[in-house]
This record gives sequence, C-alpha cells and structure tokens, in this order.
Amino acid sequence: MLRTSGRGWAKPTLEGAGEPQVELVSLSDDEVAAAVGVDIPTEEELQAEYERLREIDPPAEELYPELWLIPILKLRGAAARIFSRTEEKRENLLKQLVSEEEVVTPSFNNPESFRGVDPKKVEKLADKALRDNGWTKGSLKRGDGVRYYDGKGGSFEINKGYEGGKRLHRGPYIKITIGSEKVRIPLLGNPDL
Amino acid sequence: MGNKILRFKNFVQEAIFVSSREESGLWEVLADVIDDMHVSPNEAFELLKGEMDYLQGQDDIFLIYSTKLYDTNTSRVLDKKELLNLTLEDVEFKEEGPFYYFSSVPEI
Repeated sequence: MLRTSGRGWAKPTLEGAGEPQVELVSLSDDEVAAAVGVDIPTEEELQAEYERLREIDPPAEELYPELWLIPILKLRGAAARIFSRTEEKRENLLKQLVSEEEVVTPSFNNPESFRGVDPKKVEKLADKALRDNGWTKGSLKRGDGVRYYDGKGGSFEINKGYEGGKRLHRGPYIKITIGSEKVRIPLLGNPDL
Repeated sequence: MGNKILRFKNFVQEAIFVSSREESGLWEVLADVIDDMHVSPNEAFELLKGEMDYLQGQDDIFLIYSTKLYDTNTSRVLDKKELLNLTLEDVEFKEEGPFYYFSSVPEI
C-alpha cells in the first residue's frame, strides 16, 4: 500500500536518477479505517452480518432444497428428449419396415414374391387366399408339409424339405402347379436362398 | 448328402424321387421331366416307364392310385409294374380322375 501524504493517495516521488521510489508499509485496521473514513468490520462482525443477511435473503438452495435436483432433472430432460427422438426414429424405422414389408407382401399373382418368406406366413396367406376361397387344404401324408388344391389341376404345396434331390429340396419351399405349369420357390431357411 | 444326389443317374430318376417326397401326381412328374429334358409329354412318359428298374429298387417310393384327388380313403398302392400298362391319357390330370401318384408313404 502507498503511504498517503495527508489527502488522497500520493504519487510515487522521484528522487536521484529518476527511478520511482515507493515505500511499502503495513497499516493496522485502525489506520486503514482512519485513512478511508470507515470502520473495518471484525471477523465476528462479518460473520454476524452474513448470518443476518442469510436470514433476510437465504440462498436459493436453502429455500428450495430440491434445487439440487435441477442439474439431474435437466440431464434427465435432455436424456428424455434424446430417447424420445430415438424412440421416434425407432418407430419411424419400424413403420418404414412395416411399409416395406407391405410392399413385398407375397402375392399369388407373383409366385416369385414368396421367395425367402417364412413358411408359417406363407401358410397363413394361403389359408386366407386359397382355403377361404374354396381350395382344399390337406397335409402331406409323410408330414413334410401341406397342400392346397382346387380340384382342377391347381396345387399349392408348402414342403418342409428333405434330404436328396437338388439343394432347393433340402429346405422349405413351395411348389405351385397350375395345369402343366409349375414352379418351385425357396422359402425362409432354404439353403438355395 | 452328395451320394444321394449322385444316385440319380438322370433327370427322370430325380423327378421320380422328388415327386415321391412331394407326393405328386404323375401329371406333375411328367411336367418336371418335360421341363428338365425338353421333351414331349409322350417322350417324358416313355422315359418314366424306362426307369422301372430304378422304381423297383426304391422301397420308399410307392405308385399310388385313387379315384378322388388326393383322397386317402380311395387310395391304394399299385404294383409299380402297373405303370407299364398305363397310357399318357391315364396319368394326365383329369378332374374326374382316376389319379396316379408317386409317394414316399403307401398312401396319398
């Protein structure tokens, strides 16, 4: 601190070769108080003032203890928003997949559309499209599948597959016969896919 | 598995084997032979008859007859040699039947 010269703060005095010379001194609280014209509060007074102000205007965390949750809640909120978006994306993806699945729903007008489809799904579709429209459904006697037929040469067979023959025959496949036309299409699980 | 494939000396034998697992009518067997060998229906049927030795040698392939389509109640096992006495008209699909099949079990 700079020594005062009666009023205000003194500028450093120049002496000798022009180097600024200042004198550092230690002042007591009383001297400082006398210099600035106010009483310097003691530690006890400061603590008491702090307590008084604290009673008048408590800190927010004392008024609202749950405020400590705010950062967590904010974090949860952010997480919720993130997960919400993720969930939204998931749902959109699911809708897209369902939509795509609808697009590739096997059609009896397009036998190739059955390629790679789950045999159980094919059977459900055939139950609806064929059996419910007058075709007869029967099990293969060997237990290797089912057959739908219309009695006029039309046949739709879902075969589980067996050893022997071509690779196509070693897994689930359908065999569609309409008159002299026939086609075999591998289903889900067929090694020929 | 490879041996089972190799045991078919030709498309006709394979068509017979596959049709027995599919429990197919002979009209479907002929369709396979026609497609695979690019022959006429008559030629396909003659090729089928020509595999009598193969047929006789397979214990798990039966020649089945029924008066109603895929009807177990009217189906019965025929001697495989009966095939030699059949005509193409006999084995082609007709709504009124009769019907001839290959099956891996002694019924249809």
